[in-house]
Amino acid sequence: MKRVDRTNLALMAVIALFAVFALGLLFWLKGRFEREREETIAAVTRHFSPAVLGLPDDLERTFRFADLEQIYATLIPHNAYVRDIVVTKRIAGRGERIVLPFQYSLLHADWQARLSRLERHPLSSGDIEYGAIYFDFDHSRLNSVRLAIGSLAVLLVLVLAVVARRLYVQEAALTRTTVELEEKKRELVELERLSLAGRLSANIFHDIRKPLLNIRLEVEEIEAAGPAAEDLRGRTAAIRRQVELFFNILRDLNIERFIRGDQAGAEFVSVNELLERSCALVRYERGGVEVVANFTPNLPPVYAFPYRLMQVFSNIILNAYQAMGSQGRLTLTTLQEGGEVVVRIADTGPGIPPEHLPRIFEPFHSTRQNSGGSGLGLYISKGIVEDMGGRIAVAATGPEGTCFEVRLPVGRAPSDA
Amino acid sequence: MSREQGNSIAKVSRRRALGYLGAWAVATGGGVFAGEAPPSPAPHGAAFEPMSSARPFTLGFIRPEALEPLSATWFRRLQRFLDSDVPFREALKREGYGSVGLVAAEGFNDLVRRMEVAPGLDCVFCPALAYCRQVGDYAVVFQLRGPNDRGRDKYIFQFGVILVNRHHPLYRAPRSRDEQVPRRLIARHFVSEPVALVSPYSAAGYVYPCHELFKAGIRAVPGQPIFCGSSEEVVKMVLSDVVGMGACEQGVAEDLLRRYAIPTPPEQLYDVLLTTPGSPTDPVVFRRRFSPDRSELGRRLKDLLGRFFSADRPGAIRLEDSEDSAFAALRAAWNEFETLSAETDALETR
Repeated sequence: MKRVDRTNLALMAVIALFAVFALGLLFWLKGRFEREREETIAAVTRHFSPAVLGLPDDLERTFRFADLEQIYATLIPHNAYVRDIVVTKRIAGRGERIVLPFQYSLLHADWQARLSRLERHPLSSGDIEYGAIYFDFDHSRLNSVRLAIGSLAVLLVLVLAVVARRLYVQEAALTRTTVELEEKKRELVELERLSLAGRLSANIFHDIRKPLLNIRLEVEEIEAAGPAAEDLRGRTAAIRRQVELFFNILRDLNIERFIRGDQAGAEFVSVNELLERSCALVRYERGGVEVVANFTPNLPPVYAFPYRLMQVFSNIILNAYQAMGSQGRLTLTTLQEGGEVVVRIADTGPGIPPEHLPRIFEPFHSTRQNSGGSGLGLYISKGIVEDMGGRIAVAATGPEGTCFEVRLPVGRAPSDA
Repeated sequence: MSREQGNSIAKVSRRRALGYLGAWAVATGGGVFAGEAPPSPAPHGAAFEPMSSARPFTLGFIRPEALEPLSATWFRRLQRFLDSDVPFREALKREGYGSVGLVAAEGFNDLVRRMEVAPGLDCVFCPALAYCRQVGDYAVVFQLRGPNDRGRDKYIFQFGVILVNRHHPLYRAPRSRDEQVPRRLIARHFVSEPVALVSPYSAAGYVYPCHELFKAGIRAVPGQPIFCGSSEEVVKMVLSDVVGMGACEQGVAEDLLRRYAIPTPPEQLYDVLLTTPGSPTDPVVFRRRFSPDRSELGRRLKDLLGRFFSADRPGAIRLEDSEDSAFAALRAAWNEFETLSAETDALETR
């Protein structure tokens, strides 16, 4: 980061130095042009002295047009600063009259208005103004320099703005990344805690299995020991039923193997059955959600790791329950399309916002960051399904709900492929 | 102003100064060498080439603007042209001359004096009035004919006009039956306000306009004359409204408007109040003993001048054969004008 900063600062320094140098050069040129222009004005003015034009009441020793035109021909053509001049002479009792070029007032009926647009330099001798020179300046060179100064200044501002924006964007990205990293770190800690809790749960299930077995044996021995009081017999029977129920639950869910992530080998499994077991696994999150099963009977088996596939289904179903908030309808559909078994899990939740849709299978992406979502569920599910040669995708989403679709190849072991 | 422009102006000024110095040298040198006294080296040597012990054949003219567009440079070219002609040089030698020398008079009176006082000038391009005023022995050989001049058969005339610009009170003033503004009305303005004129020795640009008003019994000496040197300057003065009224040669205003591409019709810019009778244009005169009908040198010179004007014709000026009688009317008008002026002056004094 510091290296980037230094690079940017060096770039800005070079640009600023160049700009300062160029601006200095341009301002020097501008000053030079203006100085030379002033000198030109002074020189032109000198040539139209009282000796040449005569004072206002001096008509007998008056000027000669030929002389004025000769001065004009010497001074003005190809002049870099003056495009044209108009010289007037004040005549006693008559006012200002144009004497150079003599035809100016003949060619332009509005000569007075035209002269008012030019720069006037009075010709004076003492207190007497005997005429004036009107300059039509050629500003093209000066304007070129002015334009160059302006352009350079604008360019400098633009470059600085671009560099500043680049710095700002980098800073913002860095901040965002830092925040995300912190968040993921926190999520990893949470996951680790959940993982630990899961492993502990498996151990606990394993450990309490033995005492419960002992309880069941003891109860069976009490019952086998002979007739007992009616009341005691009824109570031991109740104890035995509760223990049986516990074992049934464990058997039905195979929750121990699920929690342990049983790595037993792949086998041909029934998708319908795995879906039912997955529903049962997460039924505690079901709340008031209506579950509709549209299973196609006699589906061909798929070759899969059953507990991993259960993890996929239960993850999607759990997400659906949480999206619906204990109310709504969950529709489970299975069918066969060509050589694939298709599983569709549709909820009536609010749908996935479009901006999240491209990223829902990315790791650590979750729309429930404040409600316990790890952001790994779908990412892991996608990996599991693809490992089995299948595909997982969002088939539809919108305000009416979301439908996930899992496609698995029919009865084909990886070695068959 | 850039340094280059400053330098160019300085060059122009230096060139002008040298030009005046050269003209002065020519005039002075010409005067010295034209004398009857034994020839001596020219004091500056700028005017004549090559130098020889024989006195030069003098070619006189007045300061350039009086004979525009014949410039001093044009006369230098003419001098070189004449000098380069071998038969002419031989004719000069036979008459006791060395080469051709230029004499640039400083003004009208200077030219008249040089024509009158010995040794005089041998060939002169002079204003018509100068020829009429001088009393030397000269014969008219040519008249200069400009594009606006009229006449034929050795009588070439130019006309003078009095014109006012569109701001003048007499612009489009009521006319009489002959389409002329009443002369008394013209004279009232002519004497009371600044009037642009060519020169005191210009027939069309001064003498004839005044003479016309004098003939009407009006004392018409301009009260505030502004002598501009040429008809073109007069027209520019009037059209620029520096002065409201001017007198100049006829046709110059139209030429000027055409040359400067001014689209406005002339009648919307100025009004001609009076057109004077024709006066002869400026002559080229030879010393009478070199008159072409008397002298081989004169014939040769006439021929060369004709050829030179054909090849190098400034301002579309042509040479037309002429003779002394073409100037009789001008001489008479001038005498009458002088007489009337003197009478008026006397009345004024009294």
